Amino acid sequence: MKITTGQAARGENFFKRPILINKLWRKIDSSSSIIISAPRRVGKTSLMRYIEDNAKGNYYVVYVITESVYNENKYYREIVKAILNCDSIKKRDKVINSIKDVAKNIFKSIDEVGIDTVKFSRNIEFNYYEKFIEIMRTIDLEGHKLIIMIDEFAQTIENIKQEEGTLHAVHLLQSNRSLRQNSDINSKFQFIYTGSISLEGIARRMDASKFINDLDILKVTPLSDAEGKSLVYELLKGLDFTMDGETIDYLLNEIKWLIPFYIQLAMDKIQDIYDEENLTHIYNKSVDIAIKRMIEENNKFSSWHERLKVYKNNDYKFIMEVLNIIAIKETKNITYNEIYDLAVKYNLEETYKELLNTLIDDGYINKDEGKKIYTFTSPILRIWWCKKIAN
Amino acid sequence: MQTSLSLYNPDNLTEQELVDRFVIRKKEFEKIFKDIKSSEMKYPEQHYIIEAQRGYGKTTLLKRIYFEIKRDKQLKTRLIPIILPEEQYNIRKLFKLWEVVAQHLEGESDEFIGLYDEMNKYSHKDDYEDICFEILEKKLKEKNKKLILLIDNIEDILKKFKIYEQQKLREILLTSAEIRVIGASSEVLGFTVDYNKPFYDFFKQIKLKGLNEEETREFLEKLGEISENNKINKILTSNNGKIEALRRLTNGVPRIIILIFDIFMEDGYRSTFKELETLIDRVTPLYKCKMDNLSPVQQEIVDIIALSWEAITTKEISKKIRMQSKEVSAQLNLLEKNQIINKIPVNEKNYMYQIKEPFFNIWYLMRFGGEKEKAKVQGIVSFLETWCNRKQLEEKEIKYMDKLKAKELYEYSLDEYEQVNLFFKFASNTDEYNKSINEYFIFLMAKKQYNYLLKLFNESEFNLKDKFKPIYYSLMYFMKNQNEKFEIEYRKVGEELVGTVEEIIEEVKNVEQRYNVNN
Repeated sequence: MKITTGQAARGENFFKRPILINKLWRKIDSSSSIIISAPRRVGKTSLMRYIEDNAKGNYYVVYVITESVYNENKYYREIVKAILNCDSIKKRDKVINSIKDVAKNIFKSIDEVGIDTVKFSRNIEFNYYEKFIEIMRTIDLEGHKLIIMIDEFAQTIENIKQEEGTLHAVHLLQSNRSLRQNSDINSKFQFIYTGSISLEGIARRMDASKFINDLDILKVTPLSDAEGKSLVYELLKGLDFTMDGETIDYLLNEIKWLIPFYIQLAMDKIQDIYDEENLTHIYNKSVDIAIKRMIEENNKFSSWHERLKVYKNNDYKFIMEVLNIIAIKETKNITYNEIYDLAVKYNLEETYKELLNTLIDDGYINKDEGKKIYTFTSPILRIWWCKKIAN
Repeated sequence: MQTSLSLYNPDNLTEQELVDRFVIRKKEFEKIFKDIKSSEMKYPEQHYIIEAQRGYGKTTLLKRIYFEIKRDKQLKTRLIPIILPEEQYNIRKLFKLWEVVAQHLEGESDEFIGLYDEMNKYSHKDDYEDICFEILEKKLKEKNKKLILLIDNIEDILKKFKIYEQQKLREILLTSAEIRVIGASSEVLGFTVDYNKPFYDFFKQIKLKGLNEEETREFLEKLGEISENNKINKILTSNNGKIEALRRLTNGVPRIIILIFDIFMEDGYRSTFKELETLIDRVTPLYKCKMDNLSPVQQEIVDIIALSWEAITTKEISKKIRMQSKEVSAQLNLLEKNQIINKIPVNEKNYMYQIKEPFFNIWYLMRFGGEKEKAKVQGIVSFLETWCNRKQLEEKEIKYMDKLKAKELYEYSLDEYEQVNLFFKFASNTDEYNKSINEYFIFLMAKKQYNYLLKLFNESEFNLKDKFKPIYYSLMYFMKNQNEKFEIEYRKVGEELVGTVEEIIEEVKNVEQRYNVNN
């Protein structure tokens, strides 16, 4: 397994989490459409691609990324195109013939229909939402079900919101919902949405949560200690240095919030230290340097601050003060009471809970119900915040 | 004048010369190449950006990778590398990138002839850029080849793309297993560190740092070998401190090390400071151009920051330039964005600013500073030379200073301010005792006599701060928990001195342990 820090991890670079994978399949088997929800860098795209690469026999899987899509029709066009070019369907002669027939009938002006050569002319602009429905109505999937995985869906909503306004953005949420609820066709497909910004968050901000509340949510949690350890062992197999169990425990304890990305990033920094100093065995001292470099050298964390800028005025001030207090305070936490007091300070008594929930959804803070406190999810993030933002 | 720069300019070298002369950046090369070699490219792979300022060896590294893929029997059957050199002025749109790639592929292998024409057939279509990539991808699959796309100055291309083109390219690089990008960039790419931009966090960054002592030595030896002049070997043995002092001042930038090599090859003995003055002349065209590219107000601001040498706050700058803080801040942001200055936080709201490239600052001080500024540089040069030579220097201390080396001194009362003052008066016009003074200061810090040492530094008549700047910053390191202002002072340490200050701190800790001075 190789260290992967910028690309989705696939094939043997994907760290398998059987419990999570089974959970996702169970949700798929129950016919729901799903949001894979997790903060950035937890491994959502990698999980989707694993499902695509290892689909169960009764499913065809289509993966579409719609990050560069700025309007609704283009969104459905990308989906239709992906279905017509779907790799797993291509392997089935009968189905591909059915698709070719369907496409020929539906797109009279299509340039060519065949593997890899589905090109649409923009001279005639179809309504691809309608075309999607037509395809689904007529296609013979031989009893299979089509899983349509849409990556960066929330980014598409955000794009449309910026380009065409909130009404159009909400409309895309509505039309997706209509498709999911269209009983003529919804037995043939399911959607799985994910992306690097929170769909729940953006829907909430547009007051449109009702259009996604039929979706089943799969929360991708950080790795357990045992999983974290086994990921490090897997990575070490492809590296030239060794780390003993104690050092690995030390590393994981320093990271604490065990998302694969942090572990991969720390291992990447450790590899740099190995390269520089030719250490064949890594001890705690190098781990400390690696963690320090993660915080110092990388702009990997500045995003945590940057993306809060979508909040304005008192919302922003409230969030910043909450996070600054947790970062600076000796106890490294903030109590429910202190938070309520801040909400009063910023006149946010009605809405502050929503803001806190977004911070939790996006992986900034954890809530400890028992002690009635909030803390940063990761000590590394807290140290970074304390150094770069709060001070 | 023919300089060694031309002997080392990657654009002037044949494949064999480039490979033979490749002595620096070996680790980075091996890291990337090992990854390329072990990647099946069955799935989309990790893309890279090699990041460093100009003159650090990015182009050479890209070319080395390019040649190695072509030389590797096993790799060249499945991979096809192409390299897009600097200055791709014609690539403003994503489709153009694919067209240029097609043209390069045609030049690289007959298998791809006709690819550009095939793309061009669809140039009237609205989604031409999509079609171009589809054709390229299809052709690569057909020929069973994976493309390694090496792009020099990738930032020049990416920043011209519209945001949707950047998003589209990211989608392609995330989903296509047929192409792998290894870019080189002399800027911190705004769009790789800005969360709102598509390429945020996307590339694996390989940062090229300045050469360390060992790498510099190896590099200079290689330059001697290429120019068939073994004089450098003698200099490396006899004048190690001088070379190391210059390396630290110039941050080990390879392009400047080549200039240093040329100066060394010229006849006659010169002091390190003289060598530095010659070097300053040689880099003038490069740095002058950097200044000329700034607006008049920016030039004025850079003048203030550079002459201060230490980090300086917006308020201090505004006062000197007689402009409102707001206006100065706006200019400072631009200068930071253009990589001219660094921003160092003082507290939540305020920042200090410093020239980003330390040697540019030294150049400025020497060219445009008065006697006082030049003396500051001279102070640092002689400090570094002494420090880097400390092991080889002969013991020439006067008797009083000799005593300092003995542990007995540490049982002495340090209540000898008068005596020490007298010594500094005597020593302030000469560098002869620098080594002993360094040791004395280190011992003082080991004995935790921080405030005593600070008092000495504050005696303005000795100018100790100018002459022993790295010691001063080390003192600030040890005092930073006493008061916020010491912490802020410590943050002012320039990049050219960071390594030296770390060594001094380490030395203080060693002395403390060795003599157990605090027990």
